Amino acid sequence: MIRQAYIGFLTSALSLRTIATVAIYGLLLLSKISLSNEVSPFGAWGYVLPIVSDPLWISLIWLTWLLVWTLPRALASARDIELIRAGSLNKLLNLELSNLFGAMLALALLLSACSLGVAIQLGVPSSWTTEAANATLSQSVFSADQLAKWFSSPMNAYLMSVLYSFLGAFTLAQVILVLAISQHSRFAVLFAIVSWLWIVLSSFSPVDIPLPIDGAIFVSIAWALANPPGILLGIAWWMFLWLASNCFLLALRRQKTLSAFLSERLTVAIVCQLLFTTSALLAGSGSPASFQSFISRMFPGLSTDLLSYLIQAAIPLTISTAFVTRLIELRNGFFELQLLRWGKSSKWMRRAVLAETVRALVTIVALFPVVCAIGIFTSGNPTIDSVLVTFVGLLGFFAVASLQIVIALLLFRLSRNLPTAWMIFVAFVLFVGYWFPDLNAWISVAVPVQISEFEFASKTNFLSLFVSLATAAVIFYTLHFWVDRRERVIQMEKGEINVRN
Amino acid sequence: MLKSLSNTFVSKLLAKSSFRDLVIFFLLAVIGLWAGFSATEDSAYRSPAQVFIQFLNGPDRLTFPIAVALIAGTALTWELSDRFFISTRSREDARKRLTKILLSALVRVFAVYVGLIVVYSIAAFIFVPLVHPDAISPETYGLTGKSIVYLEDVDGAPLTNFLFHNIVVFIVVSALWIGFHAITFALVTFVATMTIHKPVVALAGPMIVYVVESAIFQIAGLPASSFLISAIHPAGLQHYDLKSSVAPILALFIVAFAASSILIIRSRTNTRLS
Repeated sequence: MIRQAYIGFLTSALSLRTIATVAIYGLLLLSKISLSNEVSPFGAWGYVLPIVSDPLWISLIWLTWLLVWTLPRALASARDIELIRAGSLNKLLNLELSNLFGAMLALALLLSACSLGVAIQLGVPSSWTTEAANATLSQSVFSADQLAKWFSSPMNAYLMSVLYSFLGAFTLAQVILVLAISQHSRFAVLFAIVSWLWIVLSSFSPVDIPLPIDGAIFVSIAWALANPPGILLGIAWWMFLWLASNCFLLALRRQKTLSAFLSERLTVAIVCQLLFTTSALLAGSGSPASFQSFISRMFPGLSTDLLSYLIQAAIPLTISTAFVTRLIELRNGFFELQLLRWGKSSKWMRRAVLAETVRALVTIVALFPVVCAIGIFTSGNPTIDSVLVTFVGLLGFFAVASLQIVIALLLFRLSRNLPTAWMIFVAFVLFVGYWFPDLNAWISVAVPVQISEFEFASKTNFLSLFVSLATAAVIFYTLHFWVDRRERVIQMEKGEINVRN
Repeated sequence: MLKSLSNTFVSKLLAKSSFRDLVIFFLLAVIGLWAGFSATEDSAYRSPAQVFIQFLNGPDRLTFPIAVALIAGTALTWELSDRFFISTRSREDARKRLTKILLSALVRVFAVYVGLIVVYSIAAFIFVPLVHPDAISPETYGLTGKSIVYLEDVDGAPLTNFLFHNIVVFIVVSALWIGFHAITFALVTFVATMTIHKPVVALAGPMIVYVVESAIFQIAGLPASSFLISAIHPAGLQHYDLKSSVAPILALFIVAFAASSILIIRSRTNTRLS
């Protein structure tokens, strides 16, 4: 992959398409400088930043290059020979994405070099100058004085603008590549052109486009910041496209059917990611003051509105409900096979609970990057403390999921009609979880306990986490003991065990 | 022997839809009344209508789609998963049986939620003024005169418009409102049960629709259209247009009704039922 990225970098750096794009950018920058009546107090940044943050120029320069670069490669990779060479769809996609990453990096570096070369005579200040700070705000949200409101230094503003456009363009390219390598070349071309036209159209803003479907927030950080919660919607779009393209690819790799989308473990992972992303986006709306403050909003316990509570409670419930569906399937004659395989009911129970809790842990830990990414974009860089607190919050979800998994097993043994029993349990958990906040400080049944903004991990967090896990263990071992004892009694009654032994 | 007898008795009782519905109704009523009375114990409200809204703003907002799914979907889920339906095919036409099951579910769901509204109304308009006389105190809000209190009520919750006519009319409209929502979610349960093979996921279908719809509309800044706020009673945290609350449930009703009709019409050739 590194080799492919290197090849992509070199090919792009020497390609006429990239050089032409950089030349057009250089000419645009020169024209901006020569057409301005007075020298900008921001030096070179006064001319560079409006170009790299304006969605119109981003779509006409970055995205046009992306189309010209990606479409031929995507169409070429749709050939069977490419798939045979790579070995699998996933590997082919990874190779193409690595190549594209290198190519985009080359373009970004060349554009930066061009900016420096053209505008260096105007000066490249490392911080916002005093004159700049006192300058009257211009009308355009893409001007340097507007960006100075959001970024600590001009370099920071430049890097974040380029990174944001880079990530937006890269997500778009991933969808195009996935469609192409899955033998949907025409659809890939159509998607590429329509997306490009939509972003260009959104950038011109001929009519008032509603923010959630505004293409400009997808690639321009300045536009996204100027229209809250544009930044959150932009990241949500990236996440959605990334997830959708991955699901599509995974489904292709398996059965090429719609049901492959819904193969249980994948669905659970996707649903948890979506729920957690929604929850993080809700926590990040309104730009919290710090990462720590974002985390305390992310894990609010019960001190939240009903919708946020339901979204958070749905995360462990999704994991445990998936386990219940597997248990119900066992009742169609598979349970006996499992018993034959494991020898004893209690042994199967141990194995099932262990497998489920490990899966729950993996699914929940995989949510960590989502929290960090959204937290960084909405509230700034995390400290070590806040990262640890995030882990405590995620462990809280794990404790809740473990407790629910064990209760699912208990209901499986006790109830004849598991679907109904489980739904009653869900209603009970949601009700008790929300209407008895004092209980939640002791044991988390629906959502983890609240994380305080001001202290690392309070005693309550750990107490609730520990009590939930301990309750799960106690229920499990009681059930285990009961099942074991019952089996021994049956065996003794049948004479399979000699009582004297 | 006694144990097996009691087990059989309980199983037989639980197998009866009417008994199950009665248990669910009783539980919902007890929980709702407990939450309502607890809330009114230490608070002052400007009118009995606000007390009534407080009763509806309780745990029912959370349990509504699950309770509807349990009332409307349990029987069908049971029949489909135990292959009971298939063995009945020789004696009864699939369309006829499904229609019967659906209609019975709709009637039961409607009855349970209308019954709940009646219970809450009696509690809010009769018992609360008796048990907690200080709970209704418009003077605390600086309101004097019946019409001013009514105007304040209408500003808080649009359905209270009907209080201008009569309390009975208001209760009937509230009951119809919640009953219609319950019927719509019962239709969603039917569609989910018929199309989703996993019974737990099918029963969770209405809850998923409820939460996803609420999340989309609330994040989009349209709280009036969120089921979480408007399904039980359009009495949220702010005043809004009643039309915005009617539109999503009407759309869902049309879609669910059309899907149910198609499923019933095509049931004779449905491989799951043959």
